[in-house]
Amino acid sequence: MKRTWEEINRKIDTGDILVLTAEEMTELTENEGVKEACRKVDVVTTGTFSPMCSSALLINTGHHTPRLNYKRAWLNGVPAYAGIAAVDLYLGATAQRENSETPAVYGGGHVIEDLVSGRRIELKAEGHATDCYPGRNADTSFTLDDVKDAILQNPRNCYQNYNVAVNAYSKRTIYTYMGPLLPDMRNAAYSSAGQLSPLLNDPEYRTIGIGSRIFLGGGTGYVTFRGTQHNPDSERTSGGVPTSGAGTLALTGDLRYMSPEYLRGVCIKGYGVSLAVGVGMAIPILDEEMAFFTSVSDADIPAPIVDYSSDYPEMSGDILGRTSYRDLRSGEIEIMGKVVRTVSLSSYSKARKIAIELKNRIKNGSFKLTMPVAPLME
Amino acid sequence: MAFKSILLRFSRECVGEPVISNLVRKHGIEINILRARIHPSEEGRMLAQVNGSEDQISAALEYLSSSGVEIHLPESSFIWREKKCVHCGACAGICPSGAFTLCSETFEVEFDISKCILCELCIEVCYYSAIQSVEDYIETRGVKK
Repeated sequence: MKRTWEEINRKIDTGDILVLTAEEMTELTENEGVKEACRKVDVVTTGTFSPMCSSALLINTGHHTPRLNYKRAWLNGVPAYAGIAAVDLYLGATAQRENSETPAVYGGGHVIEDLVSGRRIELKAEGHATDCYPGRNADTSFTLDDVKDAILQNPRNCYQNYNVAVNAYSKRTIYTYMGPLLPDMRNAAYSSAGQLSPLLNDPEYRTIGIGSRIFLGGGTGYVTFRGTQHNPDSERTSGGVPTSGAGTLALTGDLRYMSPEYLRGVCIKGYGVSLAVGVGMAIPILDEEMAFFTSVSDADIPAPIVDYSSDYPEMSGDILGRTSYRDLRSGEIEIMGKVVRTVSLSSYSKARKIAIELKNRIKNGSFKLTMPVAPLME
Repeated sequence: MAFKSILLRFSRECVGEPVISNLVRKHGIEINILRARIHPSEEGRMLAQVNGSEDQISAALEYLSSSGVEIHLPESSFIWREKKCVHCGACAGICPSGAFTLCSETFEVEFDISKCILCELCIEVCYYSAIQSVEDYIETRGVKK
């Protein structure tokens, strides 16, 4: 049983198509087997919603009168990178507002959320003041409707798998990007949508590649390249699932069509600020292998338990043990004989919502699949 | 038996009266004081959980009122700002009293104010400012200081 991309897109046109979310696919394969699921199902949708620090906004504000070439610029007090063309700015999600506030409570991620919510943003800038761009200063404000372009450009999203963070050795609470970790391993923080996560349903990147159309922040986006730190060669289970980090994706999309429901500024106590991003991908069931990959369940996905008080900052590479997303989602895991409560940073209910939303878009014909123009890594 | 959270404000006039002792002795209710402080601008404030029969509690609240204590009964928006919540469940993973839980079916956060002991650990783990402190609550809801 095989399907082509063209066949699937033709079925989207006619509406005669079976699309399941990754959760539904897992259930179907458990009941009817991979072979039968492959025969029935055309597309499986995935979703994830979590802080993704490697996210940014490319913004072209439109020209000033007189013309001004940004030397330095701040959006709501958050510095944006101005070392590109005249009125292009690159705003990183983790850039913090420059003032006396400690700890940081507002940053690039919040500016992105404010913009997509339609709120007005203050722009302050200094210009290079050249003959063709004489402007020296700008002090103005704008909304998303006023700018020429606002393009989300995320260098590394959708980590295929991730660490489970604990504090094994420090006597005090440590403040990490995985949240506060209590001493004596009193909590364990994890961040993956597990069986709903895009790259865990296509673990060998057979259908997700450069040019894949995706659900991004509530709108439509594309995979532009492999993400930074993409490491496809990491260790795998017999089912092909990576046992740690592994693959990543670079994503882009037009902010204008996105929604604050799926793009949220976050403030991580004692660490900094970031952006939570909602991403969904549609996986074509081209053959039985793809049906098998999308049948993955939380029980099949291992995650490494890493100490963030010493091993992580010191790059020791040690892991304290392994667990699975089924156990993590139960609320408690056992680490070296100790029962530890789990804390999720990724919202499973939002991931589920995204997978359902994407399924509906495919069913109503508003989202078609694109075959990658090149694999993530050649 | 009923279990209620109450937020009390003690004006200058009732300072000096053993109000809480009277609640216990005369009205026979159990009281668990979660937080109490005296502040120059707001006078005395106390957050407590009371436990007793409906009749006992209403008599106790009446006694408090007649003693000049202002009473506020906080609802679930007390500390949880549901609109801002993305339902990651980080709060449920750290909440020591079972007030915040993550439903195993819907994977959505649920909040039971009667179990909240106001330790505010959840504020530390919430990335989305979906949990506010008692101070913020008082400010945003316009509860009299």
